[in-house]
Amino acid sequence: MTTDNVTEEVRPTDADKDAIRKLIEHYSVHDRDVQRNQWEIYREMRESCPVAHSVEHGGFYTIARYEDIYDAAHKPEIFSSFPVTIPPFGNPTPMVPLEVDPPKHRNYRALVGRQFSPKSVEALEPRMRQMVTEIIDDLEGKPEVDLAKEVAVPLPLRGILELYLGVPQEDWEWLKDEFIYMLQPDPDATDEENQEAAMQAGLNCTMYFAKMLDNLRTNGFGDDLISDLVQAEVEGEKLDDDELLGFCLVLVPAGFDTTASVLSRLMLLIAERPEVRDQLEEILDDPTKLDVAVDELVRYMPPLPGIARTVTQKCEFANTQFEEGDRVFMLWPSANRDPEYFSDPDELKLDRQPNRHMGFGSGIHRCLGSHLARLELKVFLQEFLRRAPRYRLAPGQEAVWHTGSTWGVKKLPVVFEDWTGPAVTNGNGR
Amino acid sequence: MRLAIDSSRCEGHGRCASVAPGLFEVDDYGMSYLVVGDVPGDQEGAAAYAVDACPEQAIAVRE
Repeated sequence: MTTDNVTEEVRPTDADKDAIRKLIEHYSVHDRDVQRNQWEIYREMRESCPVAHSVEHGGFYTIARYEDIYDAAHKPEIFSSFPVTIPPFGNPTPMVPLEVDPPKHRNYRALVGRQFSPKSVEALEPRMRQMVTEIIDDLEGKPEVDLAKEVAVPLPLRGILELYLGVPQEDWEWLKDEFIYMLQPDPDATDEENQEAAMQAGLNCTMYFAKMLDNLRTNGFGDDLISDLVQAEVEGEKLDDDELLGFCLVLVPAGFDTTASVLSRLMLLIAERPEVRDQLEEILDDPTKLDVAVDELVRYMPPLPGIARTVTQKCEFANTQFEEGDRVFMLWPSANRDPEYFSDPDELKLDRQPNRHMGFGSGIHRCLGSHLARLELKVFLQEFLRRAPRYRLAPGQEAVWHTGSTWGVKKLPVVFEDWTGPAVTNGNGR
Repeated sequence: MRLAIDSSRCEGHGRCASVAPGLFEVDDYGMSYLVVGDVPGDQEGAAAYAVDACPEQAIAVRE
């Protein structure tokens, strides 16, 4: 691992320009070399090929500049959201509301807007704090822990399954595994093999939620989101089961895999750059400053490498000719490091304002759960940094990243200093 | 100084209400609206932050 305050988030690579060009031609979210060199790749794309072509997965275009990504994200009539990944998951009907275009999109989105609004999320804070406290209780006293497995995944997973969907605890673990088959395909397998595994996992999850629907209809509804959706009406009509299951299939991965990515990378960052922990500890008791810092963290390490669109008509966009059916991929992390929009974009500035980043996307599909994610990150920082001793990567071990629809750290083995020592006092670092 | 918010562009990021809570609030669906006509002099800085913070570019200074 690195020792000189340089983490994966800014790691300069020894790849030369030709190697970077080659990676651009072969860009794929499932490629480890692309991931390792991502910041160099985006820089080269923004400077010399803001709309580049990748030959992978049947061929598609990448969009790298902030301005072009903003424009594309705000033209759903030209850039359809179905399917939303490259290669596609293979679902025959669009996932709701992620892959639905206007005008239908608005109706679906309105159904879930209230539950994820700032007010609704704020009301969850006490339960969220209790949940985070329990997760840290489980860590307490352990000298060595895999923080990805013990914290980064369970925290947001419980957030969506427990606080929103009412899924019983005994089902959390296997549901997570099934969703990971879908979201983090094996980079060494073929597209076909991965698609098959993802389809099977998707089917298992669909069947699980179908049973839950049956159960709710038979035994009565609760105050969970699925109960809300079953009873909701769009233009006088109830949602059919395909639509309901489509919602469930989106809400779970959107709710945990994304925040897990940011949490895991944040905990790695803290291990490698203790001064970031110092800076965060100074503002733990200042909600306004902490909000600003959380947004900067999401700008700096956005969970999604990007999101896909399908061109609906022959057109010219960003000085490039597109044909109907062309696939494009909007690189959110590249937008977030565009020097035209952010000063010193490769620096983490926890007081950065303004911060018009695209870590939560932009346009009609912007992250529905952004306020939940912000709360999770905020409460995590407050509770974890107050209680957990300093830690570093376990000697002889490395942080292991995963590729896929989100990019994060799937294994983060660390050793803690003494749990009995003083953690934070008076909101100041030690 | 007066602000204008284009509600057709607002997607509920809530950044304006976060950086300028005296000027913006959010409704039950998370959509933002203005709570003042004239921006008080001591909040012009916050107003500028809110304009620049909106990921949808939905807020503008009118005069």
